[in-house]
Amino acid sequence: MAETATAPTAFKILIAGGFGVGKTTLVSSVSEIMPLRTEELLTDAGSATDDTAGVEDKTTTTVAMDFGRITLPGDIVLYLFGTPGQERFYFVWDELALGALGAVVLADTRRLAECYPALDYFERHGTPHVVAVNCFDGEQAYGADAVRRALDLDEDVPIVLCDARRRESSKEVLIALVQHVIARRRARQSARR
Amino acid sequence: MPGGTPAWLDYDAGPVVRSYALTRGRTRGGTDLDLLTHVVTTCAGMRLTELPPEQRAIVGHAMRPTSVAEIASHVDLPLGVIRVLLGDLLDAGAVAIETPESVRLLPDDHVLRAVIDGLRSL
Repeated sequence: MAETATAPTAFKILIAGGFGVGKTTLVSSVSEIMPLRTEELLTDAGSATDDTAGVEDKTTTTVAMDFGRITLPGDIVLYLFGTPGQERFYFVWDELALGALGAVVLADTRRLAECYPALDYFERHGTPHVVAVNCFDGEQAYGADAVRRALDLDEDVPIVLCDARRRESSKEVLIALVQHVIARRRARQSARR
Repeated sequence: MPGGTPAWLDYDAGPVVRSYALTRGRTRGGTDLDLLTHVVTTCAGMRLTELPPEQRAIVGHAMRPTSVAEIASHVDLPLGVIRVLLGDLLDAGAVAIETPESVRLLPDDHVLRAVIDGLRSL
């Protein structure tokens, strides 16, 4: 037994978007394990001390994060975390976004406005992200350009159409995200020159 | 439960022991543990027999390097609680931890291309 934990090259990828847009479906379709669930206590928000006073009075509401795992050759492991939807859970997002490789914002064209909070959050925090339009039952009334206009999305944020239930399709979304991470770094490097 | 008859509690009522009772009221661990920090039980940890059930469960799930997120999920305790308990186990030398470099620093393009190739070949 090793005395140090030998960690793989591990990446966090966030799957965000409105309630019922298919976040857990996407995680399930590509994960090698049944999605697992971790919980964080809401009372953790804003408690900055080791002080025990008051803890007994706090409610112990939890916020759940479902996640999946993909092991790739070269000792690389991707962890996909579905983000909890509501703004009062942003303290969990902060933890997830810290050191994350990037984020997928899942969108449903019938309820596009529901992905605004996620887009705002990732723009503000400089987290690389792609928008994946989940086409339910192949139903897709709008093309990528129309979605870009509707979301007022920057030209450099990729939009992909996907079917979150299909593994191949979800893989393409993740590939688009990693390609975007590479492209974004290149763009920044050349801007510095 | 002070005074009165205890209410009937079933599974849906959630844990009867408040989570932070397990940590003796502490809400912050001594160690900064990322969700992807990997934990592995040490030889010393395997020899410890007098551990409380929750710590024993953690040690049991970390026989191979395992992420904090997975341990929390398997042991079924909130992350904040897991972090405190892991801090104790770390202080006791029962576990060792390592946070992947890739969580702190964006790796080189060749690693990212390996991710893309790996995803394609799935």
